[in-house]
Amino acid sequence: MIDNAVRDVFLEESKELLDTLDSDIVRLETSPDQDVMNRVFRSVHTLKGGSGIAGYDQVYEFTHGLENLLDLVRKGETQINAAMITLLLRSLDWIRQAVAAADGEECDIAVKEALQRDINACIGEVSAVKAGGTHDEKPRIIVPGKTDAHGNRYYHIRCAFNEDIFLRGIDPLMIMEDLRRLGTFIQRKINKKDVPNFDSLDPEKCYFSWEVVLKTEHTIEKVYEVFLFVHDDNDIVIRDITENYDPDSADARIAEKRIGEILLGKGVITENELNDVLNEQDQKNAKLGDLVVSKGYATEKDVEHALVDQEKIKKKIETGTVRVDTAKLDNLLNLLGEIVIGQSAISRLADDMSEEQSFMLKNALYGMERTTREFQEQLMSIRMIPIGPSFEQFRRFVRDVSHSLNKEIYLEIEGQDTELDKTVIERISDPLKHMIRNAIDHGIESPETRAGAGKPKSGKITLRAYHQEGNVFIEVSDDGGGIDRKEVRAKAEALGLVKHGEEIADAKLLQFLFLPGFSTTSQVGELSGRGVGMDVVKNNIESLRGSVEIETREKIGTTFRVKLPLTLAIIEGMLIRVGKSIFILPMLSIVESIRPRKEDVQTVEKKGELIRVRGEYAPLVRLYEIFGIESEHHNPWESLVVIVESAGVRLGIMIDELVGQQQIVIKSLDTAITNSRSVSGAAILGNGQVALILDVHGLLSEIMS
Amino acid sequence: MKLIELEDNTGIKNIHCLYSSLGEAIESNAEIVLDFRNVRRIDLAVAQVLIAAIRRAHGAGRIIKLQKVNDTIREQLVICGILK
Amino acid sequence: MRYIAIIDDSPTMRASVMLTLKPFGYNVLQAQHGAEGLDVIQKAIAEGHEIALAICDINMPVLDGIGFINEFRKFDKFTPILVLTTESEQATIQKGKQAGASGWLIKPFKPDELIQSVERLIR
Repeated sequence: MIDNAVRDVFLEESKELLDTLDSDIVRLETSPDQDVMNRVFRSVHTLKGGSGIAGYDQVYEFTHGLENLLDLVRKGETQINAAMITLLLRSLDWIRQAVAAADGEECDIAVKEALQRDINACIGEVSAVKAGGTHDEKPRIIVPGKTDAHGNRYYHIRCAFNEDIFLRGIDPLMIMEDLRRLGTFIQRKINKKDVPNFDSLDPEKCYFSWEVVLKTEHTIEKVYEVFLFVHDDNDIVIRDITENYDPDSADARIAEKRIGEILLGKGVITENELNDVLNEQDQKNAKLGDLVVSKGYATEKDVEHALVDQEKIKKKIETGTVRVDTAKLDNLLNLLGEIVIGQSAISRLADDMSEEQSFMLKNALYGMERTTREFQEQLMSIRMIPIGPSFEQFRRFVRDVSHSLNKEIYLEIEGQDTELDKTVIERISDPLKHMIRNAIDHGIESPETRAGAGKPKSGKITLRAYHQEGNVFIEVSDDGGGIDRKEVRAKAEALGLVKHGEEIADAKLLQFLFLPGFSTTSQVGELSGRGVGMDVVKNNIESLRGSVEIETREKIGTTFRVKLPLTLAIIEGMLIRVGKSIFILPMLSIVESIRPRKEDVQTVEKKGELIRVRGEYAPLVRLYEIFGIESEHHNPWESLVVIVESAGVRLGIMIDELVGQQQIVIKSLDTAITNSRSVSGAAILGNGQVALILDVHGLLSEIMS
Repeated sequence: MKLIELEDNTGIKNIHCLYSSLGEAIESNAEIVLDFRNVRRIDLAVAQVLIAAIRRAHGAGRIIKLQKVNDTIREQLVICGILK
Repeated sequence: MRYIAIIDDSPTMRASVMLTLKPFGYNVLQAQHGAEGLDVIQKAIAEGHEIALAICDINMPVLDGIGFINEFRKFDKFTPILVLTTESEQATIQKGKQAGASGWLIKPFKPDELIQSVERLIR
């Protein structure tokens, strides 16, 4: 429809243009006049534009060449002559014929091509004289952008617009809407600050700038297209940051290098071997893994394993990051803690209001609490990194140390995805190294001893990390011969730490191992065993407000268990009341609360009081007894029992009332108070009252012992 | 209460009208309600004036209410950080 | 009423622009060179109409595109102007922008390219 109408107009227009051109060109032959020349050029130019729009592709292509020739004449770069006049007139004839040719009818291609050759020859002559040519097209290399596994790309886009952009008839908001339509803004920073105060605002000026991260399936060209009219004279910067969001698309060369590092870290290849292979790789274009295998430095299996490891430890590399002093983050966390306290204070005020007002205030607070929680999570996530890469670095260490002692030891890693505070990870590395060295040196027996004990020749050390009730646990386990308690005791007696014949708890005895100058090995080892190390280990861990305990079984092995608090000062807690005291239970450990029947409560010898919950018995804890406080109820069937769980074991806690759920700001306690394993910290409530935070795991072990 | 009903074509070309009527409204010390019922979409000039006005009103302890905002404008206000 | 003005000396171009924009609900004013463009636009404004966008060619007799933009900006600071150019006129894009043009469209264009460019500037 449109096409036909435009065609009709073009037929009319081209007829007029061709007639004018005829007479103008003839006039040029007799008197070269610049005005006439310009008009000829413009007519051909218009003819070109019209034919293109109306769909006369052959004419468009032809007039394009003609226009180039006339451009040269117009600029005086070539002189018009009789031959050229003839060529131009014959060209007009061909155009007239081509336009007149009805739909589908072929125009005379042979004539056209002959004319084009002549036109090109004229242009060519000129260009040859000019040497080079006017068209200096730069080669464009189009690199297909990378995408993540879901075909998404990520672009960081900064757009600051000129103050006077409105004066060019452009509304940056439209551009941002178009950009938004390409995908989703996963990050957005709006510099509203730059908008001046109301009184000094010039409403005709643009003050806005945005910084966004766009997640989209479109290519960068498509993104540039949005900024087509503005990107060359406004401050628009578009960076493809897909790599940061997708480990799989990381540069192959870097990935290769890391395979090498993994093999090196695992002790499969040496540094020299790695350098050798990397050099070779620079010359040849081969995969590093293949080179390593072909050189006999490693087996195919080794490389396969390394590739698997690579997947595991691959961590997105952040660019466009800002280094922030961790003290500042701590400060933020502390301030957030104060906000949470403030919120719970307001929430308490709401209780004293009329029902309607209280409802409205609590509703408003609810939204605020959600934001606070999100804020806290974001803040936490800044500091949290997985421990995996830190664990991996010990593979090489284990191999080197065990070889030097003629032992075969395999390192197993569990829970590498466990995230913990970056500072904690940095500071736990040395103590871990000491414990691992200790396990290699003292824990794992020589291959001969192991063979004699019916164990596999090669020993195993397990590094394990996991979260439990707001704590992080890191364990170093060996399957060695275990710690000889008699030897420890003898040493302790020799040092006067314990009197001969005096009874001492197992855990306390083992804690002696952490004392300075305490070593049990008869012959002093080359690496450890001088008694230096374990006391340092303990100090380091305690400086992180953590603790370390030893579990050892003869012939089976030894586990060093490090308990570290999350530095995060906030947990989701349930407030419970016993008498006048308020305690806090971590929400994560609560299973349910029940009101038991009398027949559900039993006392079993050696196991103490048990309560039956859904067919199973769980130990019953009376908090008022543990903490020596008042309680309203002394019979379980009259009070409420909260069932909690830790490491698969359940426990019933007798309470008077469930007060409510709340975000709790943990305040660290003096060691004097935290000596009780049942308490992991304290919190200040909205009304200023202090409440202890119960540690379910600690409660359980207190009861079991 | 001071009700300002925005015209359909509110934008950079007549931004001074909005700017001055908002200025007067803020001076008047009344609650300000901006009604968008006639407005199809806004431009960045409008968004900037809104931001400055909202900030100014906040400073004086008052709020500016936006009402009858259609989905297009809502989206625009989100892009400009005026709405969440 | 809200109008888009097309200023181009080629009737084919004007027809094409008008026929492309009509189905999208745009009303179109036509002029064959810059001077006529200014006349047509000023008359429309005097009658109480609004010019939402001006589309203009660069190479025109009497008053060319750059001249038109300069004159137009003297009485209208903010209305967007879309310039129609050809590959060989790339350098004029800069001149047009300096004069206050908002965007450009390379001839020949397909109808949807025109629509897209228009919608980049007005909605």
